[in-house]
Amino acid sequence: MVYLGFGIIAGAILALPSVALSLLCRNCKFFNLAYGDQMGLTAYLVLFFNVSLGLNFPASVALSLIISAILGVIFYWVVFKPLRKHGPLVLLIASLGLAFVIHNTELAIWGPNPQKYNIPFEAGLKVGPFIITPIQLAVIGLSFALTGGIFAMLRYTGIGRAMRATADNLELATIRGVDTERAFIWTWIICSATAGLGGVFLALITTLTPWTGFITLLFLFSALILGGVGNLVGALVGAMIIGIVSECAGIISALAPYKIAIAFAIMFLCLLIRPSGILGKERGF
Amino acid sequence: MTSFIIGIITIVAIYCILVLALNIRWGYCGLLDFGVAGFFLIGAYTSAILISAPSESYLFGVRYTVGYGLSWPIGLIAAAVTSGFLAFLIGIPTLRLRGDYLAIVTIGVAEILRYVAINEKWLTRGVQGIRNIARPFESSFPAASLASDIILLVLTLSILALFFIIASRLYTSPFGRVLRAIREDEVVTSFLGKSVLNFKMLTFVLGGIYMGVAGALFAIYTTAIEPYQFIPTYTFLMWGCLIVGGSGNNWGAILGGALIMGLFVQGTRFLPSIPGQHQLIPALRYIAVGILLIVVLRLRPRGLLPEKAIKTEETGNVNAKS
Amino acid sequence: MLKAEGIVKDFGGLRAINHCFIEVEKGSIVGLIGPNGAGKTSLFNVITGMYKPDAGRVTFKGEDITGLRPDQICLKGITRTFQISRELKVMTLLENIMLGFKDQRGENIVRGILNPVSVKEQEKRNLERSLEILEAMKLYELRNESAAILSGGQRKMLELGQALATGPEMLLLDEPTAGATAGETAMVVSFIRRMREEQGLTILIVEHKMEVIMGICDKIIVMSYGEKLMEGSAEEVRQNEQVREAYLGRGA
Repeated sequence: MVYLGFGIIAGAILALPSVALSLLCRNCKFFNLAYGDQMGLTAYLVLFFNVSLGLNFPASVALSLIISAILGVIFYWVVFKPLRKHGPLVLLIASLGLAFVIHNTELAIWGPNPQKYNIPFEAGLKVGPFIITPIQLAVIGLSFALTGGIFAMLRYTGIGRAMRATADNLELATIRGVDTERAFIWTWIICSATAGLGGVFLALITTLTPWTGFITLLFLFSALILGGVGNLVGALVGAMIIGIVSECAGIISALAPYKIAIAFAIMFLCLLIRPSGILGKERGF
Repeated sequence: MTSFIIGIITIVAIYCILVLALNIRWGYCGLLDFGVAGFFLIGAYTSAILISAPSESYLFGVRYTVGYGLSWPIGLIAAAVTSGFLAFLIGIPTLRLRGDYLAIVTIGVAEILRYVAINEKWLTRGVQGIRNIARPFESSFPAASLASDIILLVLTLSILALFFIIASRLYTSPFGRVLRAIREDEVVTSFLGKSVLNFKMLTFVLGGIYMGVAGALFAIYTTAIEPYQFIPTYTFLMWGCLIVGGSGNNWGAILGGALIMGLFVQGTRFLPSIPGQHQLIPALRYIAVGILLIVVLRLRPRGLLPEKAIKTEETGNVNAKS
Repeated sequence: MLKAEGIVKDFGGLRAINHCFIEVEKGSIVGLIGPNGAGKTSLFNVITGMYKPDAGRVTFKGEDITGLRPDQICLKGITRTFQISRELKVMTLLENIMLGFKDQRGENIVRGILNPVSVKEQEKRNLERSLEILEAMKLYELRNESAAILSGGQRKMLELGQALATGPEMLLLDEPTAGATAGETAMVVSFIRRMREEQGLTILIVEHKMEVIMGICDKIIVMSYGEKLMEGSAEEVRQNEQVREAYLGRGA
């Protein structure tokens, strides 16, 4: 039973970045392999502010999110926008390169050992059959709240409409006068900041190493494909399913180290049987 | 000193085989493979398990023996078979889909294989890795000798040359022509009567065979392998080599491999290691390669050696039907 | 020779083809016309295997080819061209044509590597035939140039040549004169006639240029809203009230 609890937490941690990554991929029309490392990088930035500089935790997080958003826009301007004309496969290669630059930067500066934040220890509370710490509660709550926020933004704000128009049909949107460039930039701002927050949550609940980002990326893509590429609700559903199933697989001890293999097996099966995912449309992006 | 240089040439040649294989998949046919390390791993472990002398590992107090002590050709062939088969398995569902999906699936498969290598101690001795992998003709030429290194170098270069010739001939053949057509426009190629899935699968499996053999050679070269040698970093490095050297061009693949793995990686080995931060220099190295990859993509996407145009021969007269 | 019976195709909520019946006799040139959105290209796509129809059957020479893959259908003898020509820009014109030939022994991976005499000979024969085709298309001088440099009309000719290389029994041409100059259009028209006369090809052609259609077609099929509106000779179609309405009513 406690595995189910882990699963829900895992799903919650994956939910926000999954939805944001799905948004990024849908708007920009390629799979951003550097996303996981963007998550990790922000988590390390928080570490820098919090542990090295001694700032309090909320301030560290706020600063790091801002930097993460700025970095996201820089990545867009410097790497992805100029390469857009070469198509999604080349963008994939570039994102792989970027992922490794970030990964090795983390490795160079902070080393391979797991890191922890400077925050007060809090005991767990008993909620039903689970024992849960206030931090975990906060993470779950915030994750779902912000995920809802993304949906709301897309539906009700001007920039959200611009994003949707740009994603559906770039030419048509440009002709109709939608500021597509603004849509792209805000996509990168929001998705990078969200990646950052997701990374912080991840670091709070699990460990933080230079590999954390990349490994999380694999889970995220499993969730995306399971839910249906291009479908944000699907990403959310996919994240919960992947989280719960991969944690519950830990019940069988032989499978415990293979959580990621379970996530991947689910994705692989999905591609075999129904490549468009649970909620996806036939044509993908 | 000679032994050192021979060693460097050997390992660079092994990596060149990997880059060549990647060129066949991506440069010829446009297949995105981000799991090079996985095929490399399966080739290395297959041959290591078959070739190395039996050694023991313990799992929950139960003793397992790993290693069959077979001869090296068997190791090489078995590596080719398992790696090719892995390519086949991955290809069945994924080659039907868009290219991005292949990229993601291959990343995951490579990592999962590495996890298997770490955790299935009964098969792979886990993190301890497999040791005492025999060099060819070890009875006459012991592993630590110059002669053994030379033999391995000759073997590696021969295989590299053979693979290179095969790849070049494929490029100019009608088979290669179909691959290049697939890379640009799958749909049109399909409507011209070519079974696109078949061509992609053959290409993917061929690449797998090359990578598996490279893995087997690697295991023999290092005489001891362990899972950390197959982290995704190596996949990324191979892509760096191909992009910089020139994708679509086999000489570009070799050049890229030689430049990045040879000059750069091995060359910077001489920099002093900063105490307490032994991971710093390698990390900086890889950062440089990553930046170089992005810069090349932006400024000179075809790489150093662009794709060669095919020259078709002219027949004498053309009898035009007017 | 070709029969499409009761074809239905839906895309999302939209019905692109609504119980369409068409028949093309062997050796004839048949035109397929209709306003934009009538379902002509969708019909081509269903016949040639790009989409499976939701209902209905396609038979070719008596054989059921419904739902086969595009490459299989090409091997059965039906080749199509595209509305916006999709020539392969990375290759030369010569390579584009040589790609088209069927049963190339060199396309087998083992023979490709070994390059035996049989492959060399076949390549040589295909090369000669390609040069002939290029000559007929008036593209011979550009044979070693990249296909990227061609003009609109030239691209259509190249596509036609590529289709010919596959040795088809039937051609489905989707707007073969789109973007072509008057001179190029005349060339395409005379070429289509030659293909029927000299090689006995059956041709189904989608066109918007009335002079082209009226000039060469034995029979014209008119589609509207995914259905066959009528079929008949050029005269009959020209006089038909419904056809006029379908076109005028949409301002096409």
